[in-house]
Amino acid sequence: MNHDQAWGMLADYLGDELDESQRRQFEAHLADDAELAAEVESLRRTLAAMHALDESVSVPEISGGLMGRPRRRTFAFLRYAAVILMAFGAGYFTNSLSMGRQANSIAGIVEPGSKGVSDNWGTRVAIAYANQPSRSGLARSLVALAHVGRDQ
Amino acid sequence: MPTSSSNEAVGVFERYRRDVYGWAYRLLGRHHDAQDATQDVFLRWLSQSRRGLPDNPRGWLRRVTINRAIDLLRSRRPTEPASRAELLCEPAPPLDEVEREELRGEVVVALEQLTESQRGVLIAKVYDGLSFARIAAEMSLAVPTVKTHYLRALSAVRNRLVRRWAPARSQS
Repeated sequence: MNHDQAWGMLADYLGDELDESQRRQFEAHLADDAELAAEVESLRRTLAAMHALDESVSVPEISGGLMGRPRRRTFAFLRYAAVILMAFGAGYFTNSLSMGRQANSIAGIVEPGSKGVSDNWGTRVAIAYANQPSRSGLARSLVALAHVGRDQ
Repeated sequence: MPTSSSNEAVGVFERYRRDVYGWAYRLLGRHHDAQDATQDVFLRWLSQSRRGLPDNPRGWLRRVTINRAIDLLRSRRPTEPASRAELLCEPAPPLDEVEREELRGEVVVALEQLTESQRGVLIAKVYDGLSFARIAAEMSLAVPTVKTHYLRALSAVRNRLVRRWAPARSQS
């Protein structure tokens, strides 16, 4: 194995993708190639440092599902409130439109495909939101919005 | 009510949720931040699913999670010294935990300076233990390109960590 061949195998060696024979050849070459040996040592040390971060990972079980934990940040509550206000605002707006349609209907002006008061977009957001008690915060609101938007 | 396709998206995400949390936690080092990142990635996943699920969900989730974690770290840094109340309420971490945090910071700074592909390859190889061939398939790259990304990314992290190692060497 020459210098260039050995350097060409560096990624496979560090990535533990050489077979036993190749690994022995590579390591034998390191004894005669101080530059490559130093490179291997420092990169292995880097890998060890990265794996040290890996040891601290313990993935918790979240009993409430994907959105089981309320967000810790204070601003999350404000965002959550803003989304709800927007939902009710949209509800008020579409409710007005719907009432207008009802008035038209009473007046004998028929709009094909028009929906009743309880079927407007904002109301459906609120219902979808209320029906997802296991979720929380902004995420819960957005999930509700996503589902409502998709169901339209 | 959720549609079948949104249910499918949630189901697919649930399959990889532990991976998403793990990637985020390794970079962020805090349980709550990792959970926040997981939630953010989930919302992006839902948004993405409306345009169609990616061919390689795990690769997509890894890339988005790493980018999100780095964004969170960038936003965390300037406010960190101001969070004295939090520091006063929490017991001082043990020394090895402090060192681990410093190490994590160095690794993340190095990752920030990499291209998205280099970051993805390094995380997939080091933390997911995937083969170069599998990473190449996941990321639609050639195997030699993946190996090049791996070495460049690893060298970049090494060059960052050398600053930590230098004092230790000079003391010995």
